[in-house]
Amino acid sequence: MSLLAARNLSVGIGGRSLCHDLDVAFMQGQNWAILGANGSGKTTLLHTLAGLQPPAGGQVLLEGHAITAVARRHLAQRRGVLFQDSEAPFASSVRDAVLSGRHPHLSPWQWESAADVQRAEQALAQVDMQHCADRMLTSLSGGERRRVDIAALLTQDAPVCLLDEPLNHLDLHHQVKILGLLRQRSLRPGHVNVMVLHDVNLALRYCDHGLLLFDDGECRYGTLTSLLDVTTLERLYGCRFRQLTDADGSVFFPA
Amino acid sequence: MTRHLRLSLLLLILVPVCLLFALRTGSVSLDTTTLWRVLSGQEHGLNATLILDLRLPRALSAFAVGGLLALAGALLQVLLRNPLADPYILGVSGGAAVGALGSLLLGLGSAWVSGSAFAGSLVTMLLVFGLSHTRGVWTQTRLLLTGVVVATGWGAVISVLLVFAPTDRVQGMLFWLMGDLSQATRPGVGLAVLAVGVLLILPLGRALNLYARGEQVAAALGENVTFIRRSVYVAASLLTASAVTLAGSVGFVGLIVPHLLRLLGETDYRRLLPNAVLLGGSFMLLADTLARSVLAPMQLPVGSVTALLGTPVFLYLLTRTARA
Repeated sequence: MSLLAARNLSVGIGGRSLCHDLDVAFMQGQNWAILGANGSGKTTLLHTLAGLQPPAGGQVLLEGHAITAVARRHLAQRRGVLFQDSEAPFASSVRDAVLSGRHPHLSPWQWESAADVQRAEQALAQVDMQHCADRMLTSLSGGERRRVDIAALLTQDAPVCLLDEPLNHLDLHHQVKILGLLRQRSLRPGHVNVMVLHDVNLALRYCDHGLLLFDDGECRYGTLTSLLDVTTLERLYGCRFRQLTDADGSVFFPA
Repeated sequence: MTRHLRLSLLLLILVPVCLLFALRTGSVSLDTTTLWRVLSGQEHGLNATLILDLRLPRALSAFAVGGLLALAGALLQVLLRNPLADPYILGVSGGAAVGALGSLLLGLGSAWVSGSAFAGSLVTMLLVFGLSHTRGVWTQTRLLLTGVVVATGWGAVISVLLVFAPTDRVQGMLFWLMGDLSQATRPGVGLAVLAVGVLLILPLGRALNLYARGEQVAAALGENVTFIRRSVYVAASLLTASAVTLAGSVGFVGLIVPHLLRLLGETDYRRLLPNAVLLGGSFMLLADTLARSVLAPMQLPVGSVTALLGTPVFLYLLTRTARA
């Protein structure tokens, strides 16, 4: 059974159709990259798959059940979302922000236990932020704050993770490290990642499946290696591409 | 954890200390022994009348108003995700003021003033909510803009009322506008609203921590954001309406108390909300006692004292944190 699936899913925004009658199953162990130009509907599709936004047509299934019928708290235990941006108008410590990932696992009156705090600190260590637990969110750099958001997602510990540009603001070392971490997670039984990415080569290296959103509303999906070639990328992004191939595989870059 | 516990304990001690100060201070200063004899029912007569009929109701009103405003302010700051939000930002107090000043202008009694103040704030609450929800679209900015514009509209009506008011009634109207507790003799309703408000809103504490980080975040972590938004809006409006009905529009408390607590390191709404009630209540008790005693027999409007006291304290804490 698929962990997450789109059934005849249509997604639109402001009267424009972004994808139409999409039928795709996200199976355990897979890492999906959603690729497309700015404004092609990647975020809208991701939010629809997360059950945060109603689709224009069709439905999303989480573990075989219509996502709209899944109880909110249970849904939050099973699927996690990393948003493109985060905001912090009020001071809050890094530890508290990461601990918010435990929210769906606690009953309304329950406080975070020592085990929860430990989990949060482990997650911070995984993203190299363990030394910042007591700092205020507002004092962090953009990349550090991104890593805190990712640590919160790891603390939530949902088997289905939907990530919107997880590499935003990250330096090259942490781009590779975070994708490695996410890939490792997806290898645990019953886990899957679906992420919006802009780096085609990192997608090829860390993801196995791809979903391409073209500007004209066409939507293609399949294994990444079978999907991606120069012609497709040129159509996807609307610019010239070059491909370099060696024994380890291909890299694409805009010419 | 111990630091948070220390702060809460300190605030719990602060409340009776401020209450004691309020009950002892006045035209006749009383010592603690007399006070105790009166409160335990061993002494009757003039001192008993002074304390039980004058100082105690006024002190309890002050506590209720401070607590209500601080709680409402903290809630509106999360709801609008705007640190500048105070209980009056969405026009609730403007509506109340139009009701109250209208009654004062007509020379009606204090029951009418309170009643029409409460009615004015309820009308505003429904008006702002309705206007910001038309066609089902809702954003913080839209609510904020609707509220601010309605508040400005009420402000204009208030100016007109003041212009047309006969000179002998203007001072009473100005006192109402600045916030004044001298007419506040029945704290019961205010205290009850405060208690019910705290009890109803506390279970939302952890959800509010998420909500402060964005509606999306709260929704993704399993919260019903429409429910949170509506409950917080209605709660904050009713708390404000009760405070304003009791004491007019006392400024500063609702804006500053939540920030004072944040500057003292309290960022978790599960602790911040009850602590805001304690600190807001104590602060108001202190301010009102000073307002009626510093220039006695002249009384200052308590709203001016809250601002005079609060500004330096707040600025001190702000510069201290900026340096750290």
